[in-house]
Amino acid sequence: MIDLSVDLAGIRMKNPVMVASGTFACGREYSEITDLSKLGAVVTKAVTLKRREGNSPPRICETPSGILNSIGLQNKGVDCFLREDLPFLRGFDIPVIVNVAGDDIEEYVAVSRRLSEAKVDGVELNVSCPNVKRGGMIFGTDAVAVAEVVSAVKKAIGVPLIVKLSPNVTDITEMARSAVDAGADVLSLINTVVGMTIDTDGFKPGLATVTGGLSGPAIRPIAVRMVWQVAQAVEVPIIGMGGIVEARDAVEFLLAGATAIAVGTANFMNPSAALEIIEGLEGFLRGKGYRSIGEIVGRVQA
Amino acid sequence: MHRVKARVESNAKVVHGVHRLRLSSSEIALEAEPGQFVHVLCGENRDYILRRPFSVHRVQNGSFDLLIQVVGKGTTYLSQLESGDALDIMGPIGRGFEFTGNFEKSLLVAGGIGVAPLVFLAERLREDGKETHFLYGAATREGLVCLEDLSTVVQKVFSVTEDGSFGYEGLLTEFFGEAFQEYNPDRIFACGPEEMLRKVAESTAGTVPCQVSLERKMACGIGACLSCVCRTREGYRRVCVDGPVFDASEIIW
Repeated sequence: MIDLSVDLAGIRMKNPVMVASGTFACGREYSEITDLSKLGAVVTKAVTLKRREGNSPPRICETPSGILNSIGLQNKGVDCFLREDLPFLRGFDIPVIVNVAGDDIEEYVAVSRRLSEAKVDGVELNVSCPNVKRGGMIFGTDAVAVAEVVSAVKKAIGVPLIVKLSPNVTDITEMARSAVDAGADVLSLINTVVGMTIDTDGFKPGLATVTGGLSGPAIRPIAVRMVWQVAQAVEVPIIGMGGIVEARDAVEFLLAGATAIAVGTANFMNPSAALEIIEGLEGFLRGKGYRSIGEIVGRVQA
Repeated sequence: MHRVKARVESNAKVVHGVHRLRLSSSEIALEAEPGQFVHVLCGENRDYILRRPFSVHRVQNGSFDLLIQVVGKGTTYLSQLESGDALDIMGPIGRGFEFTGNFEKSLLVAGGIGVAPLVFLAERLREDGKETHFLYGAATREGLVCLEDLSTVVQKVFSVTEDGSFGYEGLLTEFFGEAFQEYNPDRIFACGPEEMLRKVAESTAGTVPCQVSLERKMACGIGACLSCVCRTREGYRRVCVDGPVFDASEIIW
């Protein structure tokens, strides 16, 4: 029997495979074609205080081995989430981690407090969305601002706090240290990489917002590098993500130092990608003679 | 909605750049309604990674057809499939045409490859005993790929080609008023380029109910990612599951 279970600062998961925020909504759509109860955890799409309309379309472009998106945090607001989505997700008996976004510190605190009171299993602070004019990446690319928002939210909640880092910085370890010093229990990385495409017939950007966030296999080496760097710099558990499509990709992140991993863009190709990765990880460990997932975390010989 | 490994029963080149794929899946063939689509994984590659959405073109007993216009890598892959190959398909998805209402005479308006779901619709309308006319436009005669199929399904086809190689010469929308007057329909169903749909919607506004099938780039195809939204009077709505067919009066063009 291979032990795939992991503990992320008190969030106990039966396996290390989560679905990444923004790619899985609140699970309802996927529940029709995949078994959510087998996942390590679900991370919801970002929730804000009030309903948000999101960005003008077009919101997506396909790029080599990836996609560029700019959804703009469209969601129905925290009240609606608590009323409609949380009870639904609770039915699957897996940890529910809620991604939180805001325009300012007050909004991050208000949403996180509501979620903590509702006893979600964890709050993931989205200080790394590249597609909004206020909040998001503005916080995540400034070490002082990261510390301020993390420390304010940490004081307001009683559940584990995950901080999702942006790769759009010169030194990600500086942001990681700042978040951990301010109280982050877990770090997740990476969010999308800012990119742009241009339609060479129409001379127009591919996205209405001009720039967007790149995800998918195209960014995987960037993500693995950053997870490895952050794992050297801080002591807290890391959730690694960025272009994971199959089990071997997940193993790369674990070897780099991630305790858990999240599957994002691959859900669009294969709604059962996360489940196949769970099976694949078990097979990988068995094949190599390991008995638990923890035995390979951080074991890259670099 | 199902996720199936559908076997390719046949792949026929209709004209240069357009293929008709017949795929075996009793679940999808049984459940698909005109205007719904399937979301197709075009190979296990890691280069272009998203699925491609295609309207269901026709259904038979245990199989269904897709009409594929070759425009990029995904559709090139599909055009090269052979009988016996398998495709990973999700479907049927979305809100199709609402055609059970109280009406007598419909006009179906198809621009180019937008004909694909309207052939399916025309077949259902015939089964329902409705009088159906068709306004069909393409760049050239060759682009009117379903002309023969339609001749047995609808009362009359009004054809328009941009180069004048068949039917009237010009853009389909230039002849919409004429076709409308000739057939005097009490329902319009349209699929084609967005500019064509917009003009048809504007021409029919306040007269007869008009439904349009929209096309957008999509990621998940099941309503989760919010990539494919269109602007409507109720805010942004998902083309994949709130559409792809919308009442034209809902759309803010």
